[in-house]
Amino acid sequence: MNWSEKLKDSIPHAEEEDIKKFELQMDRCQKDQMELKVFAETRLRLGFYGQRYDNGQRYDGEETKKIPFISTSKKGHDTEWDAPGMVRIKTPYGKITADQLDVIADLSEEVSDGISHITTRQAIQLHYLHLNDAPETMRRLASVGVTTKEACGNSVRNVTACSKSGICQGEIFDTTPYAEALMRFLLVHPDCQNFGRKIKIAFSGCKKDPCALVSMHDIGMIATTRNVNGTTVRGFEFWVGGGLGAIPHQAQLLKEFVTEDELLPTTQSVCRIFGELGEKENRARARIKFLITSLGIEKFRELVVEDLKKIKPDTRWTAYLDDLDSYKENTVKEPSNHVTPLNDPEYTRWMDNNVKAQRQEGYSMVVVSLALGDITADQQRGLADIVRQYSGETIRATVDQNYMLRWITNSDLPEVYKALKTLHLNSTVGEKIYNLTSCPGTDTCKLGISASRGLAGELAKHLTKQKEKFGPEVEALRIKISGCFNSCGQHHISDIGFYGVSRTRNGFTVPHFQAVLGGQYDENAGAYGLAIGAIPSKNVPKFVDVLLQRFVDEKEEGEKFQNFIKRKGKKDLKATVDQFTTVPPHETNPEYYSDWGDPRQYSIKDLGVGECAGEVINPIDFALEAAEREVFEAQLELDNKQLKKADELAYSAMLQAAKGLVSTQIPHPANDADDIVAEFKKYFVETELFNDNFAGSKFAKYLLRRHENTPTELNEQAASQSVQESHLFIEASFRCQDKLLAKN
Amino acid sequence: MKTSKYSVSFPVTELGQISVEKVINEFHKWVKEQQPSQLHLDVADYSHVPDGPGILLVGFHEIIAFRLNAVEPELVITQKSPLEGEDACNLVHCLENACRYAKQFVQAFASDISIDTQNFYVGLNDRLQENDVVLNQLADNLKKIDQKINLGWETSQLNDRNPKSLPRLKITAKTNRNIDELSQHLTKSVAAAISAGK
Repeated sequence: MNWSEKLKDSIPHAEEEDIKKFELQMDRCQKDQMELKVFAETRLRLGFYGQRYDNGQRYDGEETKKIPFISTSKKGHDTEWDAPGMVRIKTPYGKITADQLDVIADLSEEVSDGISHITTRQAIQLHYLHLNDAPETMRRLASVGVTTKEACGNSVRNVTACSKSGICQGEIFDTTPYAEALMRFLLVHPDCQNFGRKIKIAFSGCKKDPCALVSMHDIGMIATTRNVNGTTVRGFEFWVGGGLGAIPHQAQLLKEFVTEDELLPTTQSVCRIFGELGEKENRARARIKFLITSLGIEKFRELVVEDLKKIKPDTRWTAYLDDLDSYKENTVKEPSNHVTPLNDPEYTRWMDNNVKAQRQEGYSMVVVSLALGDITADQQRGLADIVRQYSGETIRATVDQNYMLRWITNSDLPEVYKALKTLHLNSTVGEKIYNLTSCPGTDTCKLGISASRGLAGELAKHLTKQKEKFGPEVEALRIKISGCFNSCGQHHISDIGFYGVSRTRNGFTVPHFQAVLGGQYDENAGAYGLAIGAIPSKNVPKFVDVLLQRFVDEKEEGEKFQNFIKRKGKKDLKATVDQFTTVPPHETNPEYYSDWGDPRQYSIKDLGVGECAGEVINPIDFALEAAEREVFEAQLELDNKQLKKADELAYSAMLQAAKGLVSTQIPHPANDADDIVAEFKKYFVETELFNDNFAGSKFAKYLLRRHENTPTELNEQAASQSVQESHLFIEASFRCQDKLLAKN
Repeated sequence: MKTSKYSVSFPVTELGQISVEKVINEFHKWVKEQQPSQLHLDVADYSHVPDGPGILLVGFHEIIAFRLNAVEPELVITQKSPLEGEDACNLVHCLENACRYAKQFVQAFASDISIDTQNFYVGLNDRLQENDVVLNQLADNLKKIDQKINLGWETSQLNDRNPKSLPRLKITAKTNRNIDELSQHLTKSVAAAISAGK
């Protein structure tokens, strides 16, 4: 028995077919039958990402050594097949059911390192996973309705939303159904397959709170309403072009009010324009923020208006609106306002820091604080049981790398606390300064420069030791750390942010962190922090001590940290940074020359080529690969005497190839077979572009004839001919692609 | 069972002055000085996770976890890549491997640690088959092995575990052997003898 057989009744047919396709692609890649860059982007779009050292080299503190992997195959240009990697599991707006928690926990033990890691975009990552375990992983996730599709690569990534959606006291309305509908609509949408880089989307239920961080997203929606003829109508402020990274941009307002009906088509249009006009060659400038900056928001707005007139209407744009109630969560307990006190000071602290009242009277939301976003398999399964027993059916991951239990009836709070305590999940830090956010950094990321998790862990310990001396104004601050300038740790939007850099000091490379101060988390990440200066990693805790003390001593009555930083200014703050920039000589303090949690002499020699964006693959490369795979499958079906299926696959393979060719001529080729053939005729047959030097239009006719005449009866010879013609058509398509390239 | 991934866990009975940093240093040394057959890749620190996996030495074939700060500290060797072939032989291979790593670990921290080789755990790192079936097969295979090494192993199921946890058996040996001696018992010749039906 294997997982495919075991789960055959619970995996949707289409999902199983996609997984089988990927298995075939894995096989083809290992046999050098598939272009490596196409396989790499395919793998990325399925969520299977590279990890540090996957180029087969590792610096051991003295020298870089080759890792003697067994397989000689590769899964990307610079990525060894055998090197363990990461899988990012797409959990839209952080919503996860109890059954999904169980399966992810099980997988973390069996194919990963026993830990599920919550990301800053409400997804879950498992690390150290062998690519050979990918199909099993996808099957088990699919059996509980979870996908990894487009969790990485140049695609629409996980759609995020406030973890309090639907229960928040301050929200305008629950954005859950809209986030869900948009996620489903854009998943593997044909208009989202030709990006130069990724698109990140966020939904916020209100303007003021930070939970969804709309301003730092490529596309962001803030719930709002309007009064139209005496009726309250729901809609969204539609923001575009935000983003962090090395050059952070605040999102700009595309439209003040996008109605529910307009939400999906407007987003589709933005994606189409990005696909068509966005940068493809220079990855560093390939995000939508650069496109909008170069066009100007006015021009971009005009393009959206024009494009909306051209898009073919889709019933899915509004179908979900008839069913908004179905998105409501089911609670298992009746509301209660009675809370039994526990004679336990930790419980009181937990109540103060981790528990908040919901909009719905009698219920509370509970933050389950996770150190660095990590949770063990046993804890996660235990949490699943708590969800089943006390909550509704789901839990949500937060952008602060915690979990949030919802719909806990107040009288159950003591029991929930005890249950969490049994699992060692009763941390009382809530979302306070001791609960830091960090990206994986040098622990596992190929782009990491400094040990962000090491520093975050150290600062958490360091600050917790001083807990008693901090007042509420310090406890409320946020610290976020990234391992490099790419900002996955979201350092720009925290009160105190750091990102990893390196400096040469005393003839050695020394790990440093750049301090970024005064970012605004509230108002959907309303302002970005100020880069002040680089500090040696080992001095960062001391710098934080002095900075916090300065804030306590020098702040004005009621002054917020952001305002304090603004008032003090860069020159003054730089003076504080400068107190900590000296690196003592190696012979007296060698610890300065290694990073937190890593005893090796520090080096940046392990830096690899990032897979965040993946390589930009032209749609034609994907299409021709898919065509080759399908015709191969057609041959297998033919061998198994499945004649009808063989013929259908052979035909589908020709359509794939034709569509790929059309994509070189127009930005949004059609998906319907009639349209594909019509466009193929227009751009390749009538122009004679597809014609063969010797055979003329012979190969094009294979597709045209098969399209006109679906065989009603097939004998073995006819099916075999169909497969052979498909082969020839695909070969002709490759030759045509070469011609096009030579022409350009 | 067609393929198998096992895990072996030795409870820590005495724990002296071993810090997280010392373990991380030691594991980095293992990566640096590794034998090609071991294929150690990286070190991961999860000491911040309460009752978590602790410090990991991540290898291609297995992960070695020292659960230093766990409620019940233990050294766990978990296979990540499945073995094909006869189950009992695979199990011997896995136990042999686990003992070798445990021996190396104990030697590195000689005066600061002792592990229990009389009461330890063997489990499967795989949920493909139902727990009951797997545990019976596992018990049978452990019995076969014990018939060759004669340590009087008794196996028992752990009833207090979450039923969703990975299947795992406790081994209690009548004859106690330290990790050095246990290593010497579990050799390839045992697997060969089982395979040959001797």
